[in-house]
Amino acid sequence: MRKFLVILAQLLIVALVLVYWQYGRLDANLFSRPALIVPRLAELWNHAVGLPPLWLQVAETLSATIAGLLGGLTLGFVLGVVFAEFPLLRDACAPYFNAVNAVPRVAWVPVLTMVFGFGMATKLIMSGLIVFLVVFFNVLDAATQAPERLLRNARVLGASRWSRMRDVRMWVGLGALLASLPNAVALALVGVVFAESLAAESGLGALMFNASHTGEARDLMISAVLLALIGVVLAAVAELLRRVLALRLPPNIVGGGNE
Amino acid sequence: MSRTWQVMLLRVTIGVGLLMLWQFGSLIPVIGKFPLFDPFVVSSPRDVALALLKLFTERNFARQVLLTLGSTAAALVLGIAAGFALALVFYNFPAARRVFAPFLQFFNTLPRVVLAPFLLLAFGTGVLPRVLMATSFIVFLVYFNVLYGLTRIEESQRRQVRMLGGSRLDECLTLQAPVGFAWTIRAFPHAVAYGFVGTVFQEFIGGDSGVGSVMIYGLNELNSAVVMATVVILSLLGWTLFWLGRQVGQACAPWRRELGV
Repeated sequence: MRKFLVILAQLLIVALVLVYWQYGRLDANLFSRPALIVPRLAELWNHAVGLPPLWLQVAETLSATIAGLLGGLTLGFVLGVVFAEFPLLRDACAPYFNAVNAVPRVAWVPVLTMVFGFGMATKLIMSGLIVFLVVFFNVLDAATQAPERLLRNARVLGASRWSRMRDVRMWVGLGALLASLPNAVALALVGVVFAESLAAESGLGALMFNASHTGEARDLMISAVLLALIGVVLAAVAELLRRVLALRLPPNIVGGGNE
Repeated sequence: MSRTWQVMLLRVTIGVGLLMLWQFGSLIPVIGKFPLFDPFVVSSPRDVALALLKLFTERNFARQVLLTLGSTAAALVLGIAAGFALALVFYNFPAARRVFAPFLQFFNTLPRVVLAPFLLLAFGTGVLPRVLMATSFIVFLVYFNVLYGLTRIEESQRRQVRMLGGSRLDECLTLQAPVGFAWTIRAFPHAVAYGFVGTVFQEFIGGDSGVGSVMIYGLNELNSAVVMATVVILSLLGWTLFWLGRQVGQACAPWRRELGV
């Protein structure tokens, strides 16, 4: 009964917001109205004058997000594990890593745009870079603090650097990779939208920022809502993936201490 | 040679090597032809230094830096106050919390980028939209941290307050507020970093002042020296802010330990 009431209240809030959006005293030039948006959405989806079809833009933003995510995850993971194994190199590079990490992510967009131009390459690299920074630092941190006993055991058994990386540090790093997965997914999308915000020709971010410049409230709302939905869905998928995969990791390594 | 010296030597070598590569990379045969080494695209350390000098002496860059920092500070005050208050209210009214939880979760996972054009259209290019954008990052961070901290208060402690004749308000002020504040401090370095990013982002999307807007001017003029100069300044500022946040956290450490946070 109580649960039912809570859900009822939530639905009521959503309904109120929608009604207010449609009939309330909102600036329609800024927020548009649901009744205006729905037909425009149908129009945009397949054939809008002067714009690529919306499904193509969604596909472009999504594929850039996923490609950037995969690239950033892989590179961040591998380098994180490698740098953890070479402490001298790690300490030597630390101030430079910190300097790069301290730059607000969005500031890389103009730099990348100057190097790679307006297009898919900049989006991919921007998204990959953001993901890389998050994953790299998390994996490095975890792999550096790999259980000392395991590492010593491995050394006694004659393990090479390679096998210590492969058999010990990699697994600890994998735990950190999973932990940062939801964050990385969210940031991959943000990176793509950052890059699109500047001057990309297509993609949801470009649609959104072009609409804000031309004052096309319907397009602005449609692209913003779509991006929000994609972001929330991706975050949920990543969270699910994290939970499912975390169960499959060998607990004695991730938890530390091999009794 | 001790390890500290080895590390120092390597650091200097890497730093000098990177600077040399940046300055003279375009002279390397074949690889030097890539845009990554083109001085027109990535500028050079010498030009960046000159650009910085010019920005500070002729274009009053210090004012832009102060505006960015000021907006970040304002957002911190606003975001922490709002997040803290929200957490305290929702902790004491669990029914309301249950109703609003999915909405808060939604706004927390919402890519904050989508707010930027609305803030721009509604509030223009001034300082206010920046402060709001940065606040939108900080509010949820503080809210979720403080709420988590509050839910970890033990039932026995709450009963103790009641037993000593304390009202709900007394519990709020003497038990919940300090614990909430300790968790705020815990989230503080990240709040500072997020606030800074939010501010710069909104300046970047449409600001008439601040470091982010200078960067966009540089890009529009295809003046790579100015773009790189702003990146350098932003890196320095970001690092300093995070360091300051950590100092605040450490200064409060004994008091936090007392509360077990």
